[in-house]
Amino acid sequence: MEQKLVEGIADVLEVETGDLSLDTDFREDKFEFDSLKGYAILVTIEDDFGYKMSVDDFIASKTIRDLYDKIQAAAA
Amino acid sequence: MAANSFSKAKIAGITCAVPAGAMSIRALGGPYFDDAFISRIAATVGTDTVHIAAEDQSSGDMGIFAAKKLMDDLGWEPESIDGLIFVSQTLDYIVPPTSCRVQYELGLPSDALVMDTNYGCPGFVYGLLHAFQTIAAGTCKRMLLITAECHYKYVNKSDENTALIFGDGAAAAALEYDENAQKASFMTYVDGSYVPELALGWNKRVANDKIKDRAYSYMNGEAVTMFMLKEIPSFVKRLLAYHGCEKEDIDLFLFHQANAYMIRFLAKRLKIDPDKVPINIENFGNTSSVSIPLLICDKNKDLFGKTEKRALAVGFGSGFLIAGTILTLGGLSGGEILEQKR
Repeated sequence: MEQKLVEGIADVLEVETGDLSLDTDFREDKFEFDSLKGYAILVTIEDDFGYKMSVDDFIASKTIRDLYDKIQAAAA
Repeated sequence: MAANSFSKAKIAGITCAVPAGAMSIRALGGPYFDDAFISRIAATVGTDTVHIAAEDQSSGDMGIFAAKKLMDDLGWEPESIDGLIFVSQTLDYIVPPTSCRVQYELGLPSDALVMDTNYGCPGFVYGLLHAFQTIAAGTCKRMLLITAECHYKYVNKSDENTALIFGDGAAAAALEYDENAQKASFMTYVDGSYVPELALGWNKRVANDKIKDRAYSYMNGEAVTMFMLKEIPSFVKRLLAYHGCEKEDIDLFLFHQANAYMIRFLAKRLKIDPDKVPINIENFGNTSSVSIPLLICDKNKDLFGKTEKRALAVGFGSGFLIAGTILTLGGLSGGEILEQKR
């Protein structure tokens, strides 16, 4: 599941999976993060994990691990 | 589910026309936006240059220009064409249908079937559906489908959501009855709860707080993006299943050119080879119902030779509406992108 999330985020950020880890800050400058990519992450999480993350929870998340923890908590 | 397959009609040719002279979004946006914003639009939406109709240049003008050339190339006499569909959000007239003007100027016979529809970005696919239906029903043998937009006239030049995205142009497609045509499938999807999120021109009764400036096009970019990113992958999967094929059987994916990043993302979500997903928004912007035929003429020249390809085309936009088709393209006439004097 961790790997699936990292792969999904890599697709969104248009980088290789190996460029990312759970501790990656997906808003780092080098990823040219913008709102479009933000929506793409929310759609990816909903499609891949069946979890509709709130925009507030997304904004509060800094790393991929933060997203992962919220998905896990929702599934628990 | 509104879906249908046809096997008695085919596209015989496509020709496009744009207003002469490309304009860079830097020049257009310079007076209103800083460099960083324009660079961001270029990087995400993907627009670099657009063609913009002159004040006195209409959708009908560009559509007629493209259609005349296509009819010449095909050797189709006007009297042989018994149907015309004109698709535009920016019609020449509110009343009468612009297709009446086009019938007269192209010299089509008076017993031809003419109609306008005002679909936006899915308009080319909707127009194909209506033409295939009309031909399959035996109503018409030869039809012209014209899509044309001069949307830029209705764009607020300082609106971040719309100013540097749209371009103008027209496309004419020729369709005809063919006993041996390969199967073409169509599918549509609508969610009218999103009507106010992407709208132009409204009656006072239906205006709401989101619609701030009645003279111009309004777009809630967030709503459009979320909806399309979420709905299009599953729509494509349903269309493939309906047609009875796998994504690997498709040679060419023609997505409406709304946003280059969005198209790349959709290709990734669908696990499609990016080489099968052409993008040309950089040269024309979002031309609404013209974008798919423009993409065919611009990036798929081989279809105007002997090559045949199975294509999947998806248009999506205001409504919100999605329309998709799987059909065989090849041996087409035309293929030009004409520049009409401004």
